[in-house]
Amino acid sequence: MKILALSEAHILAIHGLAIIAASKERATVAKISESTNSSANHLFKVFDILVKAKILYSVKGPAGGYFLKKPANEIYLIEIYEAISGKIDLDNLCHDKNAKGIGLGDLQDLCEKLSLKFVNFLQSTKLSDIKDRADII
Amino acid sequence: MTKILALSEANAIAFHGMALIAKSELAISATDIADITNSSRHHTSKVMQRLVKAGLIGSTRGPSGGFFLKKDASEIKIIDILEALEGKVEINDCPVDNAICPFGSCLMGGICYEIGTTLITYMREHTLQDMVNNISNEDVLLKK
Repeated sequence: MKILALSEAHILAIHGLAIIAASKERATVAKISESTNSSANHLFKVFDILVKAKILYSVKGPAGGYFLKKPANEIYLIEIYEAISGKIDLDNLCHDKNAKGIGLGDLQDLCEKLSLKFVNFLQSTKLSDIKDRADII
Repeated sequence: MTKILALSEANAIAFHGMALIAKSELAISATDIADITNSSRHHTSKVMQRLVKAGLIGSTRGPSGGFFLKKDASEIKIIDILEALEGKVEINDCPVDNAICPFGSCLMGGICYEIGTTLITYMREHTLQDMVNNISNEDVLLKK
């Protein structure tokens, strides 16, 4: 079971962008999907979302590919995460539909604390902070 | 709006339902739990049946019927409730369970593993009794 609500799309977006940021040559979807062992179709769909979110732009043709729309040190992971799955609801980080306020005490506090820790990580980490580990093309 | 932890509504119903059963003085039905937790009756019934199947709770029929704990709340770990719904929980290094990472080390720097381990360790070390000790609104509980 996964504990964090991180989908394959989130991971493809973060990995794909880090590879593009780190790559010294043109990183195509074919190369990225091959090196990350992921589906090219899924990667295309994810990159389309990132283009719409103005994180990437695409160039067609033989010298085409996907490129960062701004420098890697201006792209925070939160922007990538929210481009894929929408805005994070900071006021309601844990599932608690409970209308009558039966909080689960320490368990609920821990869930909120851990959620906030992950949000803080996404808010404080830039693509440039992780790109060195993604220099694989 | 996006949630961060992958705990589902079913998980939340199970945690709340178990806490309500443990704390209430009278047998509590799926309808009571659904009303108190503001969840669908159908969904709540399905979740409670999974907990029955896992041997955590039993049920009695009739006008005063409902669910009861099959063992003491101090003997039920919180992880037992989660695993009744999700199967055996194991935390892998990779947040999406990829067997092979293409990078030398995780791009996320291990934070996913750290968060998963912290939550699961808590659930393994704490019981339903710990959870009910902290219910914040006792007014909703069924009393004799």
